[in-house]
Amino acid sequence: MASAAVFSRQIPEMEEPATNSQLSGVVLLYHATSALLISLRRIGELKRLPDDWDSYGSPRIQQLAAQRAVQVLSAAAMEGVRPPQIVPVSGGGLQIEWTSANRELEIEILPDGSIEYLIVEAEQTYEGPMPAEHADLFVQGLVRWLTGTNAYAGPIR
Amino acid sequence: MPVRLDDRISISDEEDLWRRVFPDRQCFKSMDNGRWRPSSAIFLERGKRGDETPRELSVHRSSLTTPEAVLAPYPHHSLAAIKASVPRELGYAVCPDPIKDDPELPDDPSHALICPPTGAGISKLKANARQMALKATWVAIRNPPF
Repeated sequence: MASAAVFSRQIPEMEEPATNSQLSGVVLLYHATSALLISLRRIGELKRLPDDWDSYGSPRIQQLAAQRAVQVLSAAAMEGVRPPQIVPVSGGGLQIEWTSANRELEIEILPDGSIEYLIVEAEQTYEGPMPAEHADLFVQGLVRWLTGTNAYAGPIR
Repeated sequence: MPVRLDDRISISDEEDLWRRVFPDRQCFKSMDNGRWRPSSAIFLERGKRGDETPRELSVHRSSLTTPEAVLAPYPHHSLAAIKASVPRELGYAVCPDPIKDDPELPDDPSHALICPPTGAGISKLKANARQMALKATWVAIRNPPF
């Protein structure tokens, strides 16, 4: 998906101002797709939530979780997927959600930066931890599954 | 974390347990049948400030309060409900946890906890949260995305 043609279409987005200086150092914005920029803005918004944002005593979104979310979103953007829903999680983490036809993918970033994922196809679900050191490849594999037609073949190693 | 015992005498399977939903359009998720449900994240609790392990989920017992009372301090939140039987079928305990004379929290006799089964892994809690979200109904919806 990261063809030269796609890349060249994204060049004008170099003019897009950084929406969160703490996050812009992690992602090369001139490589960012529209979907990724939308998601980065969303992370920036959620980072501004105060303590007790959920009304049940949650701490604010943790910096480590936000950074890891950017890593996940950047990897997903390489597959050309549309912007996900990004939801805060009580405890200071984030959840990233995509739906495509009868498939769903949820990737949760816990406050300590660890990653969990859940995939759903029809009534079948599979959940598990995602190794952070291989998150990029793992996420791209899951996004390809989400937007493709092949059956899920178990954890991507 | 103390072991919490399921209290089926105080809280029947049929009692609605209410949980406030953060006022954000992305916390709503559309379903195939045209309805909207809360995100599974609403039923996740990954620990509270200064507390390392608890993943108990705060809820409010419908028999002991009103939607107006639960939402009064939060004029933009929505309110979702699940039957007590839903988490129990997933192995959770549901127990009363009334708040009284807490130095930080207002009194709330309706407060209860949905407590994960001992040893439940983080991944399993995630799948369970989705099951709860799928079976949730709306008590009050504010600023929905539809």
